[in-house]
Amino acid sequence: MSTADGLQERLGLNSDVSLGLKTAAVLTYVFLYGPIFVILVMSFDAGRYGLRWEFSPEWYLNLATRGDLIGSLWLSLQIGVVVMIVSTVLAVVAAFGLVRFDWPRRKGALSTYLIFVPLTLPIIIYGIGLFVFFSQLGLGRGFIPIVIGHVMYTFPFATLVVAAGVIDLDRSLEEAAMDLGADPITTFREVTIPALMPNIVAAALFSFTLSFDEFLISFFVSGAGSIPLPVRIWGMVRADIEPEVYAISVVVLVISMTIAVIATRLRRF
Amino acid sequence: MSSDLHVDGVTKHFGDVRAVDDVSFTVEEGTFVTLLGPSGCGKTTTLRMIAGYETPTTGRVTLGDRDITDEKPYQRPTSMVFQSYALFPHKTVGENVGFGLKMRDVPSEERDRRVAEILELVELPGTEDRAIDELSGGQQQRIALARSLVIEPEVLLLDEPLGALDLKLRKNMQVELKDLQEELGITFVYVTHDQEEALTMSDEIVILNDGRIEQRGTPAEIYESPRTRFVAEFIGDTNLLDGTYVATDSGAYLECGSVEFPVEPNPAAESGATLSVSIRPEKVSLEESAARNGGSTETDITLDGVVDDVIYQGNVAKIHVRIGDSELISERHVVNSTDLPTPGSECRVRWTKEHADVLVE
Ligand SMILES: Nc1ncnc2c1ncn2[C@@H]1O[C@H](COP(=O)(O)OP(=O)(O)O)[C@@H](O)[C@H]1O
Ligand SMILES: [Mg+2]
Repeated sequence: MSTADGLQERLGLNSDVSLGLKTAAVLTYVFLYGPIFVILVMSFDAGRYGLRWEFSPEWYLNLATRGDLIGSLWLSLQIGVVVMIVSTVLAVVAAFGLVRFDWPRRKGALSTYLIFVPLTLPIIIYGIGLFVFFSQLGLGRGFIPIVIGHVMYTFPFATLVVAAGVIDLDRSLEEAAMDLGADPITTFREVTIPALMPNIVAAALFSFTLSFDEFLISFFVSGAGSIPLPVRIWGMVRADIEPEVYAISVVVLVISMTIAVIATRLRRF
Repeated sequence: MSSDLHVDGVTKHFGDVRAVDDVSFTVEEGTFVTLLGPSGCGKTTTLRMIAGYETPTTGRVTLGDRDITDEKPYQRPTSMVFQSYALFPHKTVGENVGFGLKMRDVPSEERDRRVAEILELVELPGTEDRAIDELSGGQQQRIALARSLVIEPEVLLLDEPLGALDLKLRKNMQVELKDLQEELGITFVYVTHDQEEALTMSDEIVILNDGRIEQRGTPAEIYESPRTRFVAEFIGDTNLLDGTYVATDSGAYLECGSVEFPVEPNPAAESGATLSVSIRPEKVSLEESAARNGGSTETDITLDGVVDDVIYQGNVAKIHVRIGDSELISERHVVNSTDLPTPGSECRVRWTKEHADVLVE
């Protein structure tokens, strides 16, 4: 562990302490990745109640026949994509509004605060609020309420990521474009958006993963026909864990990790 | 039709800050004019009003007969080279340089041809497909220049374009830019805080201080006849002698402690005022010992003094001379370092009256 080595050098620690640090580091990783590893192992275990582990792809093959799980996965992906698009578009608009609009004294800080305050609220309050709100409106539960709920949840995060880019954006780039004959709309399309693209893509991926994993809001506003995967899984593990749950969890894990890898490979953030 | 650029009574306020204060000057078509002044004096703001990024609080900007004060940057026949270059990082060199032509709907074959031509001109031929971040600072500077030149602006505005380059490259680029300007015959308005750069490149210099014009003129006029204390101190090195200015019918003189000497009358200065006279060190000659007779004549001023210090700098030497309460520096080319006077020796300084300038604040 390089961190442990660095610490050891700086503090002049002896090898016993060094060993202790290394053990702590290893335990941290075990703690972080242990549960994931357990799920992975269980998803390939043939024996349902057996004490002996035996390899089998059976549960993955079974997934094909589990219309409920596949349906929920498909629904979660659809919700994720819609939320991603809506949330990112709104985030771009909000980021420019916050950073570029010539806010009167103090109003700028207030508007920023109002956008980001939901980040600090317990999500369960959100869920209950939305449930009551949609019931009153007669919208009830289902696809649209879930999308709206998720967008409200992902939007501040997405705005944060885009606004960071707008703040860092060199104004003279846009001025140079106008100088060379581009009107404001052309400048936005040709220069501003391309320069912000890494932030916009990061905001989109962020929005998608947040929505794809979201449970609490979905729990309150999902209905009979529309049950996103996290809510479906929760329903399945309440009584007795069906092995297909492990298999679908690994599928979800692969999707999330792929997106996380893409997001971290975008250099500018 | 001539398209001289006129900046006419332009003032710009940012809230309570008066960044530019009633500035007027004319840039003749095809000339190289430099706005020179210390940081914060309003150079960039003035340039941005010519480019169209800022609207003057009062005053007009006209190009020939065309009033461009309220035109948008993309409507004006001006182009700006930014200090940061402002090259589009997500576009190639060719796309950057061709951007202005694309905005003007120039067909792509003609665009490619003109981009290639201009890259040739800035000595970076064949770099169309390179990425911006593959280029060195000096190369980026040339690309920024090419991007502005390719649209054939009537006025090219340059805001400290060489500021980010190292000294040697900067010196080369100064000469190249000046040559390019003469070759193309485009009007250049150049901003810098470097007086040497301004003297090297300009046909005319406009000196700004605290939002106002201190003085305008050719480099020689500015250097040889500074009118204000600010200009005398900002441009080159100078001797400042403080004293009381006395103007009479028969001429003017400066009472400077125990000595007095005649000066050219300055109509802007009041008799009896306390002010400074500026004399460039190389205009002060030095004679060893008070051997020669006679004091000042009407055009030739001589004063007795004592050598305080001799600073040898290779090709030149600076000799500090104490005269009464004041100190004067005489600068001379060194041919034989053994010819330099020794500190403590008596001496006499001499200058021609027209080389001493009576300064106002
Ligand atoms: N957008 C702005 N808002 C407020 N003050 C500004 C703005 N731009 C410039 N100033 C002020 O105007 C003055 C002149 O600035 P500037 O034109 O940039 O000077 P220079 O280019 O000579 O260094 C400075 O005091 C600066 O702080
Ligand atoms: Mg400036």
